[in-house]
Amino acid sequence: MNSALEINNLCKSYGSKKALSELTVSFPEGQVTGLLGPNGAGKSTLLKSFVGLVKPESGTIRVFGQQLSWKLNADISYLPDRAKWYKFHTVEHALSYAHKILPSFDLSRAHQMIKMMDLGLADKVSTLSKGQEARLHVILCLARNVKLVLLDEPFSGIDLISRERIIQSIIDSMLDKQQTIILSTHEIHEAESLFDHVVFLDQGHLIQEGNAEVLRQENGSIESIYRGLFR
Amino acid sequence: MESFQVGEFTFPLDLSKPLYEQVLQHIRHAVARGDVLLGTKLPSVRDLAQQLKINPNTVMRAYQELDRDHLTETRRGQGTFITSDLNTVSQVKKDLAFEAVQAFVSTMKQLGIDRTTAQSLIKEVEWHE
Amino acid sequence: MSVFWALVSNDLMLKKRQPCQFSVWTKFYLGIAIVIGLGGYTWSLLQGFIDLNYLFSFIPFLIIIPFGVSLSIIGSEWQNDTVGWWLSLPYSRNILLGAKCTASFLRFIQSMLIILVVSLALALEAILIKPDLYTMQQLFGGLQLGILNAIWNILISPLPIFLGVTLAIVKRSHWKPASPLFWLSFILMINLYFNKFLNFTTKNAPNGYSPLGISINVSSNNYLVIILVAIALSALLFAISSYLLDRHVEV
Repeated sequence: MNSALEINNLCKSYGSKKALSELTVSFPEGQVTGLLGPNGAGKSTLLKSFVGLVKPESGTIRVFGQQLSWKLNADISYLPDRAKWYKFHTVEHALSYAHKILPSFDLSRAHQMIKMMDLGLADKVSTLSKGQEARLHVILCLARNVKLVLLDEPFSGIDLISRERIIQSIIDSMLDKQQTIILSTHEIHEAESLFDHVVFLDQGHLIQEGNAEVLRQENGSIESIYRGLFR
Repeated sequence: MESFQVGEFTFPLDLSKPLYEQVLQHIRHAVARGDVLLGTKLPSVRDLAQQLKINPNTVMRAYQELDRDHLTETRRGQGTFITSDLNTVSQVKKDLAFEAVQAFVSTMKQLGIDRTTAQSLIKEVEWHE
Repeated sequence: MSVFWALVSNDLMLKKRQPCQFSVWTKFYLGIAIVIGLGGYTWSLLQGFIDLNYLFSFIPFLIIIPFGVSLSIIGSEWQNDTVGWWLSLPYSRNILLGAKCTASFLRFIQSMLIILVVSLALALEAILIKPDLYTMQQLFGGLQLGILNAIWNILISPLPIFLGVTLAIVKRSHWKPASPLFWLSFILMINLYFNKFLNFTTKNAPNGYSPLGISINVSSNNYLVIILVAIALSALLFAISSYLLDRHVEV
């Protein structure tokens, strides 16, 4: 199995706190990887470092064999954690803006997803509920024909229906194209059936990784493995 | 454990066991038990993945395995269908029965019961036909 | 290039509050303030307190506006939590910052135009109300001065724009400790500009009017040198902020 991402000896600290500590890990190509760990495990920092929002002190990151640069972000869809979209846009305006500035953004697919996700094109972003805005964020990421999709906490703090809609759209997206998806989440129970592969982080260290089905065979559900690791 | 009804199939799904095996076994058992008619169309990979909320790769792997065992056949542009070949079905039934017997034997062994005792137990037990 | 203009038009809307978004009370107080302001102005006109040159003479001070505009356009990406989307765009930092600067520049031109038009309207009101005191000739004198100063402001506005950009980026970069230094040099520059190049005269304005008024004008022996220095400094500041955004900004 080829790796989409190879991370070697990555270190990043904030003051005296080590966010990533000599982290070496890889993410398989064409699969959905669940990036799991408690708060402060380094999940967000790791995902940010893939798109250059965080500058590690040492170590290397290779994305499809290439070194990081802003050019590479054309092939990466990134959903920032706790982000918001531009308040003054309507949903339709958001799509047309994304179409203009994001390479390989599929506008007609985005419109389909808007229908499926039950959003109104004329709705102002500032009037959307948290769950509705999260759906819009996911559409902006998944309607792109890119090789790598990074979703940082796409389900955090949103309602059940929005969560289910987002899971549906992730499944749809996997059916339509060969993509590598990395998804960090605390909602393991709801998301774990999506994972091909799982990576557990704690305090910037890799503590376990493996194929989700193999782990289930050996140790039971991913959720129970998580409990065992972090209790 | 949650149960999902997809078309003519019911899938109980247990997240503590490999999902691919569960999908595979449910379809095998449904066919062997005669819960679904021969020649029935299987749900599409998309439908099954969406309904069970599982990774489509998992469904695809299970379907490929079924195809390899000739329990299903994929007709171009139409979908995947349960085989109409009775021989294959009876072969699957036999395989599943054999698996069940093997499980039975290993339980007996754990209990310290030997072959003759086990055989006589089978004769004694009521079948409720 | 279409990407650049898409970025610019989005940046133009950053931080902008449409009047329809104001609350009823804000609209109410705003209305009252305008009525009081206009009333006071009209009363002063009737008393003959106003010199039409005043209406246009404050324009040189507005060179501070582009500084505030670019500072807030950059800052709004952080304030509105959109910075993660912005900085993960697959374009060079020069393009991202260039779009913000262009948007600031367009916004400044827009505000100069609005200010000129409002001043013109107020001057016309004066002529209508008290034609014996205020004449079209005075108005043309003031307007001419105002337009010249506005054009001059626009010509040198890149410097305050890039200063605002630099300060906004430094504040959010690893160079944050050096932030006061940049502020200090900004204050020095503004002081130097106001003291050296702004000329406060109590003499007659160009057209020989405004016998009591003060006219404020930009004066220098060499306008070209000021512009060249402003451009050179702007380029340097742009290079610094682009470098910082690429290497030393984390979110």
